Amino acid sequence: MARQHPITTEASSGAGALEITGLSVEYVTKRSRTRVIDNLTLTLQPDEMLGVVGESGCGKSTLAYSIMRMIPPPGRPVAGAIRFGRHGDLLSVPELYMNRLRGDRIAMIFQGAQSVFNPVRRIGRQVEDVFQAHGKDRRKGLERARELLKATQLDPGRVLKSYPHEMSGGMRQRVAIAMALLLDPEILILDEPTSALDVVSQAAILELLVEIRQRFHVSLIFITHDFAVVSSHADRIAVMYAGHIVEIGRADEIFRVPRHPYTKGLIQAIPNIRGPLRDIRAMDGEPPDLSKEIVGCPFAPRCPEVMDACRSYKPELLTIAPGHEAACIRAAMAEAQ
Amino acid sequence: MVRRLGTAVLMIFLVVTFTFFLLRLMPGNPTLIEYHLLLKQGDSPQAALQYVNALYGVNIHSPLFLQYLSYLGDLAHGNLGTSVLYPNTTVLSLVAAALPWTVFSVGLALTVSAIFGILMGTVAGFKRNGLVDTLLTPVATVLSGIPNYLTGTVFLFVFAVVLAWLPQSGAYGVGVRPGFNVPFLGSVFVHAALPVVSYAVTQFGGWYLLMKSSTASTLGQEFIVGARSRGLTSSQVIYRYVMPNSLLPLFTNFVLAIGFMFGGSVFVESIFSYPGLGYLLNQAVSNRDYSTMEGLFLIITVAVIVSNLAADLAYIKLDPRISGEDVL
Ligand SMILES: Nc1ncnc2c1ncn2[C@@H]1O[C@H](COP(=O)(O)OP(=O)(O)O)[C@@H](O)[C@H]1O
Ligand SMILES: [Mg+2]
Repeated sequence: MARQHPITTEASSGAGALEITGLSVEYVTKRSRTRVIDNLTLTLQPDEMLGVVGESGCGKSTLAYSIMRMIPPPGRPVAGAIRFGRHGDLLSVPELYMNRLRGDRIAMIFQGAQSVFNPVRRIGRQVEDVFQAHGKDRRKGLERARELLKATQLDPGRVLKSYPHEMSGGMRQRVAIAMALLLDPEILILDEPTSALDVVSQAAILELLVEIRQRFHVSLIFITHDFAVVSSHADRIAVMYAGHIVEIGRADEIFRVPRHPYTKGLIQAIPNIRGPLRDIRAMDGEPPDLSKEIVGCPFAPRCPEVMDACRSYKPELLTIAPGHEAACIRAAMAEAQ
Repeated sequence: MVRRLGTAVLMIFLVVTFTFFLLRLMPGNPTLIEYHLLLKQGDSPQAALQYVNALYGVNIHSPLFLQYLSYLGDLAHGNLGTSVLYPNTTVLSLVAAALPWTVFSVGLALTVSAIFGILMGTVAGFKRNGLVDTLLTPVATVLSGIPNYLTGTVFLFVFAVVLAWLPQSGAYGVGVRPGFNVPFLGSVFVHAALPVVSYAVTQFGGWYLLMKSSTASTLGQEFIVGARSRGLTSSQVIYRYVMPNSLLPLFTNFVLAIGFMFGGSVFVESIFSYPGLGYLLNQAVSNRDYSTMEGLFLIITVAVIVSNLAADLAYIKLDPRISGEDVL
């Protein structure tokens, strides 16, 4: 895969495109208080593609919604900051300012997004709406849309005249991606962009992403529960479990030498169609109930390598190799030796 | 479409036939009563028969089926027959005199209640548990459950009898000269006020609740989240994304309501002696004026069927997801 942009893997070097620090998000109802994201820190580098992987329910979508500041109620951020360059902390800018950033500087493709378009409005009009909202020339907008649609292998004339229901799921997803790129965003978040699609459309979308990365300067956050999808495309991978990042590092490194038992489990769960039938096993158990307080490592109850300390001590992310961090006592001990 | 039209015509035909025979087979045929009355008064059977036949434009001793055929023949020529109650008046002219009052009063009520209901319902749908929602939702729920003869009776009692602010009956004052002049128009509105409000108040609840739930369910859809993620302004989201979708189901209801409007309201128009189609129907029923009843049922049937067709056609036009084949 051709990569045109220099990639920095050290989370600490230079200013990131997006710096999330100590983010906690809770869904608060009268009866329960669910901490879906807990004290999460993450830096997105300019022009990198960061894969975010984890089983469903780990808080991946909530992380994406937090960056858009569109967490569905009753969820809300309770701590932390999301710094976005000169724009400051996205969690504290005025709503009108945030709304101007949406679709302009930060764009998002939603999970299973089969109906992100107004069903009774032609795509062309919906493209114009975006330009109008951001105070840009609508005519030029349509030109730009044509270019992008062509880049996504679609017939621009037809698409712009279509209603959403006149297109297939795969087409709609490509249109959604083209729409997200209309205003040249600095960050594009893709929340399981392929999970609602058939295999052929999935491959087409992934190919499209490769091309987008070659043509546009954009940082991508690619969320998926499927390790196989990101391992070959992302620069870095962040593995999420129970609202935490439990391991983060360069994609190839994480794939080759995973340090967190959860990451190992995810990788082992990848069905390997070609090579010899390895030990394919889905992990036993389920992610913990986040509405209850978790003592110790949240993965401990499912961990094949669990130790006594894991049940009482909550591991923090620790650097175990340059640009490679894991939140696991065993990994930390192995490093210390 | 052709099939749909065929079905509509067949329906109208069935209703016409059914009403015709139902009314004839009911006891107490007024032409026969008149006939027997004349006999008692000493007229010869021939003279009585001739008189009655001429008066009502019927032939009371011919077989029912022949009467039916001649009725259909008349209908085909646009002739609804002669009123039994007002023997020298055609049903058509009675209907023509009553129709404008019903269209005016019910149409006004429908428009006003739909506009207010939709506006308030939209606000309540957007701001759940907001001021409008908290205040109006219980009110609207109660209102939508009240029949309009109840509001009519209460309004009549309070505003026309006790307070005597508004007239109790009629469509305009006795002194005014009908025409396009201020006193007449003023009188028309003053007389229509109570009937219109009686309808509007009860209908408002329905429109409000419908619009509120439609708005809320539209807001919950993915494409609204999508629109917001593209940074659309809130006025764009409201007017171009939410409302075109939330109004769709109400539009059908509105077109259907126009159809049902032609029945007027028998209760409200009777309570206020408002000379519309509903009042006419009430009079026709209580006097067994079956030619007028037939005429009115025909008009109501046609209006309902036509509005159904219109609603479907409008839906095809308005909702790009529905194609002609789906509906017709
Ligand atoms: N409205 C809500 N109220 C309470 N909990 C919620 C709500 N929405 C999501 N959650 C919880 O948040 C957690 C993370 O959800 P999500 O971010 O969608 O995870 P993912 O995208 O990784 O599948 C889940 O455990 C889910 O149960
Ligand atoms: Mg998700």
